[in-house]
Parts: sequence; structure tokens; C-alpha cells
Amino acid sequence: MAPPDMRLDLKSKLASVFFLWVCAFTLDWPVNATLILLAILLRYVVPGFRPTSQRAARSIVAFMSYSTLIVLIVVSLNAVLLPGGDVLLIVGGIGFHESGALFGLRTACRLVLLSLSVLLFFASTPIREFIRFLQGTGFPPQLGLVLLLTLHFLEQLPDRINQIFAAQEARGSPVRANVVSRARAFVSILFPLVLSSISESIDRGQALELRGFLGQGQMPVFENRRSDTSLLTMSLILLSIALIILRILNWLIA
Amino acid sequence: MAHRVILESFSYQYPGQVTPALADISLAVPKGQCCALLGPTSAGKTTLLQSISGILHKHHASGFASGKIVIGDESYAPLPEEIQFPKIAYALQDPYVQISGVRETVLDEIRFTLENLGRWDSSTDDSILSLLRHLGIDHLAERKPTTLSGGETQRVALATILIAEPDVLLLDEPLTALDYVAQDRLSDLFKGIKERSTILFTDTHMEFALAVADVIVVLEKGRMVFSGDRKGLLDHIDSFESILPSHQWKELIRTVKVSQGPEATEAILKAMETI
Amino acid sequence: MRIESKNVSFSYPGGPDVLRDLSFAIESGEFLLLVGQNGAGKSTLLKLLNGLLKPTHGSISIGELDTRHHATPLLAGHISVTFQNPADQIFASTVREEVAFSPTNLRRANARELTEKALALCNLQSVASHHPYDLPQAQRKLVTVAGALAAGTTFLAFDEPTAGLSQIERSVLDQMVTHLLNEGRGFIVVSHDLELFFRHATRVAVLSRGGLTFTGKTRELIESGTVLEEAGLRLPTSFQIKRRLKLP
Repeated sequence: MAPPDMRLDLKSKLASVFFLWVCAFTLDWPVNATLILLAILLRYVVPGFRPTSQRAARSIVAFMSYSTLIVLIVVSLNAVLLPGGDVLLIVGGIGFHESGALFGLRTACRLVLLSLSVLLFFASTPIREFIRFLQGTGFPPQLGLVLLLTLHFLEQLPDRINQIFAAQEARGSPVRANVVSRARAFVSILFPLVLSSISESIDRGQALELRGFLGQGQMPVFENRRSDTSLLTMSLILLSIALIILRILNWLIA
Repeated sequence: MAHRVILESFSYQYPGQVTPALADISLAVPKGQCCALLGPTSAGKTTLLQSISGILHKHHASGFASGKIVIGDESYAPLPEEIQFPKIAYALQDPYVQISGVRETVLDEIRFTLENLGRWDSSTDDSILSLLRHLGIDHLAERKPTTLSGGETQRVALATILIAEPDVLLLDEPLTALDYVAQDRLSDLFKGIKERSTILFTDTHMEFALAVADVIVVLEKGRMVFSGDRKGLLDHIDSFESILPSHQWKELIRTVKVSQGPEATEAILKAMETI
Repeated sequence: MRIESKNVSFSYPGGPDVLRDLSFAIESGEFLLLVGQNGAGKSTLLKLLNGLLKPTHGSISIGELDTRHHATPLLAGHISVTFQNPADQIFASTVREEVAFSPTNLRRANARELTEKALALCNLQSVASHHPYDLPQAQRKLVTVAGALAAGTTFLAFDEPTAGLSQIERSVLDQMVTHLLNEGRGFIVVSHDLELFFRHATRVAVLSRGGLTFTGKTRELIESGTVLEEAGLRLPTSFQIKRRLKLP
């Protein structure tokens, strides 16, 4: 984990995501396509946007592969189904029309930019950091506690399930023999597992309270609010507002 | 700064229960001393610690309490209603639950306590590592807390509380998963921090208490059946078989009494000091 | 019946050796006590015994069955293993259901009888219809032990069975071990509670940093002087006081 002062302020990261969303809705596909490439570049170049784990990194790669496929499908479908403009291509007697293709491209780029920006945010931000940030902005601490406990439960769930499966095998049940036995065992343990985790969460919540989690002394750790990142946040927000205003003006005039 | 802890005729009954969990408990732990609360399961030891910590009232506000609890210069009738961490720190019985699971490494998990207190900065890592060294678990600093064994988990759980340097330290069965060497380390640690933190801990038998406790209290079914020091307990041990650690201890005490007579207790305590 | 470990080594993929060249054997009716510091590899060894983990070198055989070539559910018919944390094992909604899981899965003809006997040996009959999570932690630990007993296997392997137990449960465990040893069952127990298990142990094995530094009788270990110290352990306090006071 990078030391605190190297991380990008969460406010800037959120502002970046907000900016990209505004662009997705207000700008045309060439700009959005450029922004998609820029976002991918961010993931490699900016420390604050680097994935926090191997799994997160893999999810971004998987997203890029699937989204390439989806873009092709969306563009093709729209090109086939929406007539208008020149015919760009004929394959097996089916015509691919220009305006349909452009519409598809516009829609696809918008979708990809919207989802990529969110994925990039969560892949590069530990959820706990995000919850702490929320608390710092006035999010009710009790809700933050519930979120943390739920998160802990969800994270531990696969390991807990595997351990119980191992314990069941050690007691003669061929749990992992095939998909059916695995599914059946999973169903039989899920309910008691959730129940025991809920009861454990109550104790866990108490333990957190007893360590001052909801107390007065709480201070966000990332005290080093670098002045240039606040500038970045402000710039992004201003740019976004400008884009929205431009769009509205455009619509009013047209 | 260590605080004294005094209970005066303190009683507590959980809502909906017929019998009180604690009945008429009076005990005094001077500041800077260590008190062992001994007794079998369900004797009321956890209830007693929780009533001092403030969490009992928080989660069972409709329970019935009477008497008085004094912590330092503050007096509560009948018991504190708020959690006052880090003035009073309480470690739960289950170490797996004590560890928050919020952080990826043991070191970070302990930092979390200090962060909640607004006390963490880059220089406090040294004191955290020093504490881990005293507990014999400094080699686990970068490990994930959920991958540790029972004994390791228990020591990490203790560290998350000890790092706060509370005035009153309440530990619920801190020894259950610890081997003898780890217990020795804990015993040394207690002796080192007593001046700073008054310690109250619970256990189901007397062995560790004989090594560290200044005050020993034995509870049975919510009632206090003994209050005194180590010598007093050993002198009257025949009445408290339930807190004898083992057959071996029973035999040992019997043999020493036969061979040393009235000097038996002194001999045992002296021998313990050399271990 | 016999469990035999021949030059067993184990490491996780890409990791260092957790266990190195372990050789030991245990017959039914015997009690092998495994001691060692945290991280010495004791829990890993227990998982090797029932095939949950396979040795990277060497072999372990349970009777005629080589653990490398058989799945855990089959091996579970001869050896029952419990783990340190009850929360990783308990899943049923009543104690009886939890304990009956093994004999039911192993298709024991006398499953009901085995269940009731296990409940009795662990003093859990009065709470048999309770939800395991309604019980105090100490009793929950005993539920996992009962679950292993009910399997009716020749061998039983426990990982720190006394952790979290109070005196009452410890003495229940003590009596249970005596009873089952008399029946001819075999035990492999990982425990730091030397005081409780020394008197049952046919043999003690000391594990230090993945290797066996001692295998022999309890008396030999007590008299050996430095073996325990080198493994980061010590004798129980009562033993040491006895020595200091020069008692027999």
C-alpha cells in the first residue's frame, strides 16, 4: 500500500469520475473515445489510479476485452437495424448503414466511458478508504460501521465456505466431488453461515465500538491534503459545470 | 495514568432473567495493581468486566443494576453508561472477533486503534513494533490477520487494545490459546505496564493469577466467594477446587503441604517466582 | 491399524517448506502428542493426515490407504480431524444434527448410537437440541470434538482441543480420552496443554520450524533438558515447581 502522501485525494478521484460522466453525456463519440483511451492511460500512469490488487487489475483487463466485443456488437446491430446515410458495408446480403453505425458508436462509447470510469475508481480505491472518506464527509458513522461489517463478511465468505467444505469432507461428505454436490452443500450451509456471521458481526461491532471507532477522537488519516489536488478537484468540477452549461445552451439555441 | 477500580455492593440482572448474574460484589483494586477474576464459565466474570467498561449498559440498558462503581475519581451509581476508550479498555473473549478485519496487515490493524484515537503518525510505528516484540509476534507485522493461528490471533487482539495505554485494562480470558512461553511473556508485559494501567483479567484457573495478580477474586454463580491475595488463596485452596488448574496441581499442593506444613504456600510462591 | 508417515515434506505452491522430512508412526490404542510453537507446521500436518493437503515429498498411509491416492471423504472413514476454530466447522442448527453429520455421511449402520454416545462422552446431552451458537464458546469447542467422535473412526486427530476450555470441559476431555484409548482408538493431538496430555501420551513429538527435533516417551522429554527450550516451549508450571522444590 502506497504511503498516504503519494495517494491521490479521494475528492480528486471522485471529481475525475464525475467529469468523465459529464463528458459521456455531453460530448460526442470522438471525444469520448479519446477519453476512454485517456482513462486507460490513467490506470498505468497515475499512482492514484493503479489497481490495489491483482484481482482488481484482472477485472480491468477483463472489462476491456468484453467491452471491445460489446462495442462491436452494439455498432453492428445499430448499423443493421437503423437505416439512413451511406451503406458502409454489405455482408451476406445485410447492409451496414452509416447513421446506424454512428449512433451505435455514440451509445457504445458513452456506455464504456461511464462504466470504465466507475470501475477504475473502485479498482484503485480500497473500499475501506472510501467508507472512511464518506464518514469524513458527514456520512453517518453507524452506517459506515454497518458497511464495514458487511464488507468484512462478504470478503470472508469464500474462505469460510471453503473451510466448512473442508471440514465436511473431513467428516466423510464428498462435497467437492462434482458441481451438484458442491451446489447442494453450498445451499445447506449458506443460511446457517449467514446467521452465524450476523451474530458474529454484532460482537465485532461491539469490539469496534470498544476501540473507539465511533468515538470523538476520530480523525481521517490522510491529513496531507495537497493543495494542488484540491486545485485539480476544483478544476474538474468547474470544467464539468461548463460542459453542462454549454450543452444546455446548445439545446436551448437549437 | 492508572486508576483504582472499586465496586461497592454491585449487583446486575439481565433483562428477562430470573436470577442475578452478579450479586452484591464488593472489591477494591488499588491503582497500578493487577486483579485476577477467577471462576468457572458463567460465574459472572464477563458481566463484571463489561459492567466496568460501559458496554453492559449500552447493550442491555433495561437490565437491573444496583450498587456503585468507582473508577479513579469518578463515581458511577450504579454503573458507567458510556464507553470511555481509551481511559477504560476492554478486550473481548473471542480474539477472532476482537480483530476488526478492516485492515490487511497486523501492523495496520493495530494502527487502526491509534487512528480512531487521533493518535497515529509515522513515528508511532516504533512503539507498535516494540509492543509486538514484547508479545513475541513482531515477525507477524506484515501478515494478514485472518491467516494467523489461535495463539497468534489472541496476541494480536491484545495488542490492538494494549497500544492505547489505557488507565484501566479489562481483559476477558486473555490466555485461552496461549502456550506457557507466550503466557510468560504476557506475565512480564503485565508487570511492565501495571504502573500505567490498572489491570483486571479473567481466567478459569489460578495458575497465571499466582504469577501476576496482586488481588484475586473468585466468583461462583455470580457471588464473590473469595477476595484476597495469592497467599490467602493458596492457604484456602481446599475450598476452591474449581479453580485448580489440574490434577497435577492438586497433587503438588497436597505434597508440599505434607512436606513443608505451614511454609507450604510461601514455598510454592517462591518457586513460581523463579520460573 | 497403523498410521505411518515416511519422510514427508510439504510446501504450498511457490512457498518454502512448511514441513521437512517427517517420519513417525502410530498404532491404534496409542496417543501421539504433537507439540511446537505457533507456525511450526502442526496444523498443516493434521491436514496432511486426512488428505486435505497432499505431501510434496514422501507419503502418509492410513492403514493400507496412501493419502496421496485417495480423497478426503474416503480417508475420513478411518481418521477424524478437528480444526482450531469451531466457527470454521459448525454449520447445523442443533447440536445433535451437527454431531450426527459424520456417522450419517459415512453411512454407519449404528449412526444414531454413535451420535448419542459422542454426546454423552462430551457431556452435551442436556444441550443436544440447542443451537450451537447459543452455547458458550467452551461448549461449542466440545461440539466439534463430539462431531469427530461420532464418526466412529479408529483414529482421532485434534488441533488444540483445550484452547478456550474451562476446567469442567478439560476434565470431560480428559475422561473421554481415557475411555477411548481403552477402547483401542488412536489419538494424534496438537496441544500446548502438556499438563493435561502428558499422562495420556504414548509418545511426544516436538516440531520446531518444520522438522521433528524429538520423538520419544514423555519421561525422556521431561528429562532431556533443552529440547523444549530449543523449540520455544517449556514444561508446565506444576512440573517446574516440583523440580524446584525437589519433590518426587
